Amino acid sequence: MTSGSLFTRRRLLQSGLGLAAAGVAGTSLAACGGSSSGSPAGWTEVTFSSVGDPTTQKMFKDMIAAAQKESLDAHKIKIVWKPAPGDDWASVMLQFASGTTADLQRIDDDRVYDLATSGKILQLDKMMQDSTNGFDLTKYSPTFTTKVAVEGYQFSITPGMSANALYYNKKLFSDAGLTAPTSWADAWSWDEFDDAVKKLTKKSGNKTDTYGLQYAVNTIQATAYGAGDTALYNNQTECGYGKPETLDAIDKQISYIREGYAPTIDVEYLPLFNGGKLAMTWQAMDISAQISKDVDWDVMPWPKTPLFAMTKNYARTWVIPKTAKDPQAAFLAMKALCGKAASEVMAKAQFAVPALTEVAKSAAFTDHPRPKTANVWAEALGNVAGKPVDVPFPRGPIGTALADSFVEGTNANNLVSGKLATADYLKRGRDAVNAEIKKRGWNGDKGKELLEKGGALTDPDLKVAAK
Amino acid sequence: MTAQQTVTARRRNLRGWMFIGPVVTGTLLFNVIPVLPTLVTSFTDWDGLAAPKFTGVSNYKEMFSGQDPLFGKSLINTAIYTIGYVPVGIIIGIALALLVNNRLRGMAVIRALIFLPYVTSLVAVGVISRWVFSDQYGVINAVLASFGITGPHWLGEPSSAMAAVIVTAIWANMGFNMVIVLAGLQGVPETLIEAATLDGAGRFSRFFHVTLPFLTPTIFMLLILQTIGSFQVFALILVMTGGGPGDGTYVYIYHLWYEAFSLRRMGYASALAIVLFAVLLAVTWIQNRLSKRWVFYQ
Repeated sequence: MTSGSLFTRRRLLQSGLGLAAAGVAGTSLAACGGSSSGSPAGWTEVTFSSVGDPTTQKMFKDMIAAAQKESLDAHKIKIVWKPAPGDDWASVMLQFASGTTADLQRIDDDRVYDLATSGKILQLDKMMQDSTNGFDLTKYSPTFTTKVAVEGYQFSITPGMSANALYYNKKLFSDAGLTAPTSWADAWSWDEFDDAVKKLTKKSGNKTDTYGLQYAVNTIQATAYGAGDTALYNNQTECGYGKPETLDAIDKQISYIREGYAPTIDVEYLPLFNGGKLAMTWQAMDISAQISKDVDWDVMPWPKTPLFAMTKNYARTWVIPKTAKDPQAAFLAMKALCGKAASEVMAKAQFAVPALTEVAKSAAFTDHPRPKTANVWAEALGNVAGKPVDVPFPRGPIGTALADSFVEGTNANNLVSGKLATADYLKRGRDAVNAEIKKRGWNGDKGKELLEKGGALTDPDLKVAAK
Repeated sequence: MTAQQTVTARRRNLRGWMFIGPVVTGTLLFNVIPVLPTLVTSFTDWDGLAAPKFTGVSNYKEMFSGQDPLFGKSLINTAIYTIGYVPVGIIIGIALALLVNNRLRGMAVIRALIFLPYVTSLVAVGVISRWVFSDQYGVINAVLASFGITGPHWLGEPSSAMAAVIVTAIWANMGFNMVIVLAGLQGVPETLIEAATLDGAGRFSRFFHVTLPFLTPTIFMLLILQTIGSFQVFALILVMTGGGPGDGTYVYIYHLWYEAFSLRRMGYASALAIVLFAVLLAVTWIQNRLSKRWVFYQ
């Protein structure tokens, strides 16, 4: 082929590559433009984003559709869903650092304190108390304004919480002649629980064939709380968990691992439970979908201590970043997503216990083939005998130090591996927390000082939780 | 050198730079330059949100004054892992390469099978290993039980948990070592092997006196790569043991990750990263110095 030919092989290849590049660029641009919502003129768009698996993301989209129909269309507010696949809360924090979050952002509740004191999110107390567009808090669970509050101020809203309870194998219970309690008010005492754990455990020699119980280290908080102790003493100037009753209660719980009634933490609980080799497992409600259809299961409360019934719920919470284009519209969108229609979507998915009490008690949440006692989950947001079922736990830098010393990290790991005596675990944990308190010169007023320093408190005299 | 030669040399140089330009640019942009902010951050107290506060050498002081006991513990654990993993992994890689370095039928399939774990996700490898090493339901203890031996609680004891992680890492990476050594074996001159055979050298003698010296540059490269890799072990630990039991498998990068993303002490985590960089630099320099004694270049 001569060089003068119109269709040389090289030109053909070049034009092909050019077309391919144009195609790729075009596709990319189309993909970028795909998030355009095309809202009618005069409408306000609010972007909403959360990490989550495909099922969770679909549920959020359904919640948005429900909220849209229920109230947002009337306000001419359109929620634009910004998908964020996966489970990477660290990347959400990076978005905050770079100011690229959505107008309404779902985050890990442990991050709220830092985001508030860093001045990254809006204080919501004023908007929540607004007589026209605020919340009717009597309709929400008692924990709604306390669970994720920062020094009593509202910087986030939690439309639902994943309750922790004991999943139990009904057949193993039946074989052992046991009947599980069906509400927190009727929770077993520790002695009853202890008997049950031992009856349910099947051993051959020094090996355990069927474990009576499996629990995670975060039950320690609940156990200490149940023993009548608190995490901090003397206006937060000293680490708590110093009572002899706490040592006894935790040691008793850890003895289940030492004596083979409960597996060590390295053992995967789910295959054991699915295989009928584990009678009780303390888990958040999102594991339901992973339980084998062959297992007849239900949920029951953790045993009450001499003082209280108890659990430790998990709350992913929603915040309005200071970079939100229209904070009022974002708040209305947030409120709508806590409304009845959106809460029912969450209830039907049994993703979390809706904070809206009427929905948590409705058939949408309770009328499922399993568990029969979904009320155990629902009650986890409330009170029993005037005390919260959900264990209060400090937040902020000292809360982080407490969690790092008692719940996560090597100290807790050593305890539940049977490598550390309970007394040493408590001593090491308390020493670490006290060192952090000393280093920061911490006391009960420091948290508010941090909020003020970070420019977070726009309404320092308004506190929803105080009402 | 004539003017024409100078122009030619310049052109050759330019061509060379054009070839390596993209790699050099990429390395500078994504590897070298990011180290600088990390170095600066290591002198600050920063949670990743608020503005960093300059704290001088306090992060380094915390490390080296014993205020952070996990710093030393994680370094020791990492060293144990490296000592357990690197030499054994390389020896197994050499052995496998020698075994599959022939043209027997089906050998390509065997090579691929050995290489397979290397291209498998480490998370999947870790999850499977947890089951393999399970004390009650694991394959290993089941086999031991068939001989009347009660297997240990592999992942429940610090020493055996570390051993389990090392064995898993060796299994996952043996394919890589094998392929690199296999490539090295192709550079061993056939003539020398034949000459040694004619001189009456046996199989072992041929390997130790002919093949192995030719493989030393390859082994040296593997030693450097695997040492650096072993100091960065993370995924397997996260999936298999979570740093436990206790702090039995709490390695350096796990500590760095925990400080950065659980406690959000970016300044301290950056200081840990800089120290790791310095440790790796020192280890690599020592290996390089020692290599002059045993690495044979043609």
